[in-house]
Order: sequence, then structure tokens, then C-alpha cells
Amino acid sequence: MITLQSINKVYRTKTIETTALNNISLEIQKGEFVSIMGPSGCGKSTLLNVIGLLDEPSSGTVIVDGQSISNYDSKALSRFRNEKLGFIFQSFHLIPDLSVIDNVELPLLYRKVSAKERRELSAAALESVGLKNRMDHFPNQLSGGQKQRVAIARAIVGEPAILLADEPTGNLDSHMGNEVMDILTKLNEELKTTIIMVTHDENMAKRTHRLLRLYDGSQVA
Amino acid sequence: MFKNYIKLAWRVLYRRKFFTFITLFGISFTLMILMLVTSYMQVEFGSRAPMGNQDELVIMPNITLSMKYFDTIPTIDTILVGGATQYDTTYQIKENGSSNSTSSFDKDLLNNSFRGLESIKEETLFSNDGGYDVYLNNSKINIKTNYTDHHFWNVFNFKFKEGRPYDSSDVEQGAQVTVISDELAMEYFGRKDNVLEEVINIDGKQYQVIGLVETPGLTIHYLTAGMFIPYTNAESSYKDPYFGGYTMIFQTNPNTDLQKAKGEIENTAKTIDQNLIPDYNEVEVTPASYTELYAKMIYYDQDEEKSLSIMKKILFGLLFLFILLPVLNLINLNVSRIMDRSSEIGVRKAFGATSKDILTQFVFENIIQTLLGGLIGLILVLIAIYILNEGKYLGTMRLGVDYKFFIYSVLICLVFGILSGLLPAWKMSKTHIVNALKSKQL
Repeated sequence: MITLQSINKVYRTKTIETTALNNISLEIQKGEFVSIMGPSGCGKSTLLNVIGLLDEPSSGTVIVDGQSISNYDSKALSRFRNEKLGFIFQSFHLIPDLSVIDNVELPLLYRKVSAKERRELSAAALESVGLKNRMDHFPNQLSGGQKQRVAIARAIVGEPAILLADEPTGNLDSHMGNEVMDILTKLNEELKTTIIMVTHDENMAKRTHRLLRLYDGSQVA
Repeated sequence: MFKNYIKLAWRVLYRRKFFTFITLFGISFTLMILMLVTSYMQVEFGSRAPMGNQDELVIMPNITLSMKYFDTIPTIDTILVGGATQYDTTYQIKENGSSNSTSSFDKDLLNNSFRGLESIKEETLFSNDGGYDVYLNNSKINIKTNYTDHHFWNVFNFKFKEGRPYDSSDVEQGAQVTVISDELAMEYFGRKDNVLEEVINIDGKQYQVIGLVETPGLTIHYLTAGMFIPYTNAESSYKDPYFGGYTMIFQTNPNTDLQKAKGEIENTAKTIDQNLIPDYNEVEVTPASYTELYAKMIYYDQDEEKSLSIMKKILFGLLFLFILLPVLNLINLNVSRIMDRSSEIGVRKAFGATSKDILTQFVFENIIQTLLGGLIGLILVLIAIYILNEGKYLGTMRLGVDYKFFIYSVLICLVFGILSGLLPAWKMSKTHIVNALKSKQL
């Protein structure tokens, strides 16, 4: 499903060179639920961004769903992200000017899906996270847990093959965090969605199929 | 997609109320002032009915008579011829001063010399400023009069509310008839209609009202008279072969170059007998367009075209500065607004938006914002003009909305609005997704 071959990511300024990822190679199978752990600054989010095609590696190859994305231009990358990937961020990243359902519709909007179908699919996604009754609310009217559930609905509305979650429970209390994990687990089990999750929480990581550990940009487990 | 853009634009404007207020105030207030200034200038320059055909008009307000004085100036040189000094005297005749006199025209001179020119469709002569005080019900009314020929009604397109203009036979016979303005009708008769056949007494004569025109909202005195009277009724004890109290305005043939018409008028003036008065030996006329005369009045330059050119440069400069200030403000606001939403851009790009999608969205928001500002500006200018006109704060001047200019102004704002949003939007659309997501959180 996802193959990384000798991935390096180096940030360079005029005076400093920082290695964020050092020769990472890994394979993630379809339907796997993988967690990535490591201390702050070890390159977890960078790795997730590389897998999610949000960032380019300095060297190495990324193959997603059998397709090497090295030669993709920005338009092709946009389309690939839109159709294959879903994102969940630690700080939700909901657009405050849009209602809950409009936020959820976002990926479908760029897929040129008709307004009626967008609405139906978004309502269904919100129902699956238990927020159908909050469709017309705005993000500032929701609790942290509800915001993250909206973010999950937005991530899954387009039925992506891969879900990338960057500390999805990081801003939530343990109860809310468990609720979010329940939803992700259910998605993985029922829809066989491949999920890659960055987390600091050992308990959450234990609920996934596999744990990758990073240290100073290198994979240590 | 566009519906979504509109929805988002509306939500952005609604949610960021202070920003929206500042932006819309800037756009609408600028448009309102621009429209008021334009309307004022149109009235001042007379480019409205009954002078709507101003581009075809050449005005000849004055005739100048001059006498040049010449002196004989001897120059004595010494030259050496065969070793002997000889004196060589040269005589030169040089202009040594001149005197001139300028005034409006004698009506007979105009009738005899300036009718039927090749490039002219029709010409009208009329008296300059004049008026009479009339006492009515123990109160004094000052009636402004204008003595004109019948061509006056063809050259200027007055709006007749009742009756008719006087014709050539009325003028030839010196018929004691008059066309009056509705403002005079109100002042003199206490009503603005049903005044035909009524009589007005001035200068010991009784004039029967045969026409009623709408008072033009202009400041041009010969168009805003209360009474228009056939000029054959005007009496003058002053008789001069050149000077009198009359002006002539020429309406050129369609598509005739004004310069050509002016040249023909100037050449015609040279055919006038130059020696009817012993003190002068040269006759000169200075035909000009209305705007040239207006510019000359302000800048006192002998050359009307040069005055107009200076005036246009100053006006356009001021107009440019006036638009530039709110535009700079708009650019500044747009930059901070778009920068403020960089993490939204990151999210949109993560979920599949291309740079073009982002660019279109922000430009669309700017268009909606500018059009909204334009609409508010139009409402404000309509209110302002209504208050100024109804309260008669500008005297006889009546401002109006030039919708064509309004559309141009909105288009200018739209162009600046788009440009002001385009650069920051383009810059942000190119922002790396990870950097955009790391910026200020939503």
C-alpha cells in the first residue's frame, strides 16, 4: 500500500543543516493501523507529511497505492491527495467561516461532486461520527472532541484509502481521546482504511496493529 | 463551486465585521465622493442637457480690436572704405506697443458675417447676462433675461413642459412672446404649470408666455435665464460696428473636427472690414470649446487649449490620487486578511485544492466585496444628491447620477480590488502546505 525507500529529509539554512529523516524505509500494508511514536522533534510529523504528500523528501522514493509519486506535478499531487488520502490534525484545522457540514464537504468540493451528493455524503459522514445534529453549527460552537470528530468526518467523507492522523488525540482529554480512537478503530476494522497515526500516547499506540519508533530522524523500532 | 465561493465570501465578510466595515466604507465612500465630484464637474462643464451636445459646440464670446504702434529705429554703423571712415545708416520699422479692446459682439456683425459657415450646422446668437427687477405683491423679483434668436432652441435641447419655442417669424416680427423657466413660473405665478397665455411685464413691455421649460440644473447663465425673449425686442442706445452685448455659439456638423470649425471661424473674422473704427486696425476672435473657455477662466492663459490641457492634467492627477489612497488601503487590508488565513489555505491544499482553486477563491471574495461596496456607494450617492438638490445647498445647480461613470468607477475599483487581492492570494497559493499549516492556527 505504502512503500518508503531510503527516505531522507534535510532542512538547510545558510549556516545549519538539520536532518529530519535519515534513511527511512518501510512498508505499510493495506488495512493496517500503524502508529508512529518518538520524542518531540524526532521527525514523526515530517514522516507523516512525506507519506501524505504534503512534503517532499530530499531523497528516496515514495510509492503509494502502487504509484511512485516522484514525478507528479503539483496538480497531480493535489488530485492524488484528494482521492486517496484523508488528514486529521492535532489542532483540528476546521475553517471557522464554514458551518460543520460545509467543512466536511471540503474534499468533495475539489472533486467536483454535485452539491446534492456532497450534502448527502457529508451528512452520512457526520452521522458516522455521531454529529448529524450539529451540521449547521459553526466550529466555535463545538467542544474539542466534537471538533475532532468533525475533522474525522471531513477526512473520511471522500472514502480515502489512507488516513493520516497527526496526534489526533493530542488536544483532547482521555475520555474524548478514547472516543476518537474508537472511531478510528471502527473505520479501520469496518472499512479497512489504512491508518497511520502519530501519537505521544502509549495507550493509544497499543490499540494499533504496529508501532514505529523514531529517534533523531531514524527508525529505531 | 461558485455558489460555494459566494457562500464563503459572504461568511468571511460577515464574520470579520470590522474588516468588512473598513473595506466597504473605503470603497463606498470613495465611490460616493468620486460620483459627487463628477456630477459637480458635469454641471460646471455643462455637459448635460440642454448642453448635452457640448462636444459639437464652439463658443465665440468676444471680439478683440487692436492697434499696433510702429516706430522707425535708425542704426548707424561706421565702416572703413579705402582707409576713410564712412557712416552706414539702416532704418528698421519695429512694433513698439499696441492697444486693444475686447467685448462681446454687435448682433448685426454676427448676423452679417458669421452665418452659414461650411463646417457649421447651426449657430445661435443671444444676449449676455441681463435682468430686470419686477415688483409683485410688494416683493421684488429679479428676472434674468436672455434675448435670443430662434436657432437657440435647436442648438440647445431644452425640455419643454408646455407650449413651444418662438420661431423665425416671431423673431423677425419682434413678437412680444417669451419662453419661461418653471422656476420663474413658480416665483411669478405661484405655479409650475398652466402658464401659457399668461403675461409678464418687464421693461415697459408685455410678453405673452408661449412656452415653459424645465430649469436646467446648470450654472451657465445664458441657459438658466427665467425669460427667453426674441432678440429683436432688445433695445440698445449703444451702437457700434463691432461691439454689442451678444455672443454666438456654433453647432458644428456631425463628425466635424472642432479645430477645423474654429479655424474657419477665425478666417471668417479676418474678412470683416478691419477699419470701421479709426483707432483700431486689426480684428480678432477667439472661438473655443466650453471646456477650453472654462479652463482659461481658471488659469488665465491666453491659449485655451493649453489651459484645458493643464486643467485636465491636474484633474486626472487629483482623481488618480483620490483613487490611489483607498486602493493602497485595500491592498494593505487584503494582504493582512489573506495572510491571516494561511492555515485555511494549508487545509484546503491538503484536501486537494490546487493553487488555481485558492487564487480563484480569494479573487472571487474581492469581487464580491467590491461589488457590495459599489452598491452601497451608489445608495450613498443617491441619498447625498437627493439631500443636496432638495435642500438647494448648491443654489441653482442640480446634481445627477451619471450611471455610465458609476459603472466605470466600479470597474476601476474592481480592477484595483482584484489586483490588490491577486498578489497576496497568488503568493499564498504558492505557500508550501506544511508551512501554511504551521502558521497561525484556525
